[in-house]
Amino acid sequence: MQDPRYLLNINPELVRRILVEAIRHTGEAIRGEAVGRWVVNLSGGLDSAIVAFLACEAVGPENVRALLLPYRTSMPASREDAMRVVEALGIGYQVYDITAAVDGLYQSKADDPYAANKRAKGNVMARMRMIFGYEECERWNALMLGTIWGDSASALNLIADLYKTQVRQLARNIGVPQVIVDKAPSADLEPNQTDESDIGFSYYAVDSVLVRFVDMGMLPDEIKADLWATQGDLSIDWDAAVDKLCGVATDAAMRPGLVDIMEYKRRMTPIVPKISRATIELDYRPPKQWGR
Amino acid sequence: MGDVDPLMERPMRIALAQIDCRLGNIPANLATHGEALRSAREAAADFTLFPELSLTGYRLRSSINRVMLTDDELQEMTRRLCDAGALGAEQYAAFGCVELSPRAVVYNTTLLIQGCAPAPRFRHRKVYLPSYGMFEEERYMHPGDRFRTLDVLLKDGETWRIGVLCCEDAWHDSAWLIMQARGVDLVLVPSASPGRGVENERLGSQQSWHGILRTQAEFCGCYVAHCNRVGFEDDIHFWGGSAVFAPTGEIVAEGKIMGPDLVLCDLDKRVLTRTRVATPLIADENWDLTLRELRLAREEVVRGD
Repeated sequence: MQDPRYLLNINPELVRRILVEAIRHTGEAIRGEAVGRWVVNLSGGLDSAIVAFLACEAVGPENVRALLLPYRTSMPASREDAMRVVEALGIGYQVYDITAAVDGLYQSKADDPYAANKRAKGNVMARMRMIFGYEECERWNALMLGTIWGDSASALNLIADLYKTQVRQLARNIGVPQVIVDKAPSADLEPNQTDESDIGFSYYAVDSVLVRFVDMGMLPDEIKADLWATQGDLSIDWDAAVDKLCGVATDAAMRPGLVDIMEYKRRMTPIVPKISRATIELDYRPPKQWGR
Repeated sequence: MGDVDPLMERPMRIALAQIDCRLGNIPANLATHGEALRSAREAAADFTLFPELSLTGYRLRSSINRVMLTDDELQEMTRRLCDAGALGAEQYAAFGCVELSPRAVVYNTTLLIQGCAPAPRFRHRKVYLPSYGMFEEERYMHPGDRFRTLDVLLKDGETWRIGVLCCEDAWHDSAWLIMQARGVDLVLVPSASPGRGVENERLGSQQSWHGILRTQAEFCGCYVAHCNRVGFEDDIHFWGGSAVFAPTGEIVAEGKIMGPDLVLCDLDKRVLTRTRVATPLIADENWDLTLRELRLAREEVVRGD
């Protein structure tokens, strides 16, 4: 077995070859065409950027189309970053403002979109982008390339078997603009929201815990001991991170972790090209309602 | 043909057909086999090895009943393979299929055929069907119950003792020990090994496989020919990198990583002889002790459990 300290380090060239081959194979398997066409919704973030880069490498920029789908509250910087990707790759793109479509849903319900529940509205926005993507696919005889966890609305969930820190390594290798690699990942549902502040830990901390829990099959107490012993970064409260992600189990009671609670989102997934030793669904198949 | 020293032994030329397979599409896979066999024939190969389950693809799951073949159907398949590949009467090939026995037991089988003879010369039913982590072979197939070898007589009169360890079989030291005890000259290892582990220069799968095969070639004093698949099936990809390991542990031929290839290699009986004389591991083996102690160890462990 590997030393968990090094499991988050990837050889980006190997990963790149596997994923490029996955895009080609899937296009051929589904469409029966040697070169498929792919639609990518570009958010301006890292995941969709890297997927667009890999798609271009697999089928050429002429067979990749980007959609930029801002809502009226989306950060202008997101659109600028998405355009950086479009320009770097020389791919065709469309900008569709989804405000009318999203607000229209609330109007159909005679609700005020301005007063809507934030989480529900955020999900409506994500699903509206999916609908725009699928409409474009039908129009252009293309397939949808998805990005990461839980986002099941695609034909190929290309980078779902990579941790965020690994996605960054791959992004540097493949030439994603530096500003996108460096920016804080965000759902961009409200100004200055970031994933890391939502979770309460950095991706580095989260990935360090997950690689031990999921890939190595270590138990929470072992993970804590290992992280305190091997990680130089003492500013992270590893105990809290492990408790939050993996849950807590004492003789008296148990509380499922974020990993367990989110399990229901990880089924009925599109194809996930295998990279790691423990791929969701293929190797890692826990019950959906662990502890509940 | 030029002047050939009659005393000089002719090498055996093996071809590793590192192919991609279409899942459940036997006609397409037969065509791929035919192409590889024709190329191997042009290259004067005596023996062509295909990957595990080469006729059907690997992860068949519950659709396995759509591609399993009875002996009669396998003979028909052999005939078609022979026609497609223009297999010469002196040429051998080993390919992978799903076998349905007369008693309706399903096996992961490697068939060894010679020329156009309809009956297979040899069959190996995979013994160790991995059913852990991402693997679920035993859910759909039944394990074989033996490790045997076949003496293959080449056209120049030279005989090679050949055994088959199909994929996971080769991860069991005991299987190699049996090969050793049978005095094997060449172990064929067809596989469908999924690529995983991307931390280092080479795939984790490749590092593990090469470590095992190189060591076993040395321990057994034999050649090891590993033919691994390429291509994707849904989410898993097979990494190729087929290779021939000499009894010295050296890699003497190696195929591409992640792309189809035909790997040719000449196997030389004299290398076997030289290595076995210089390092007589098999001749020195104390089989009586080994068998006695193995039995004792198992009895004690079973009692202790």
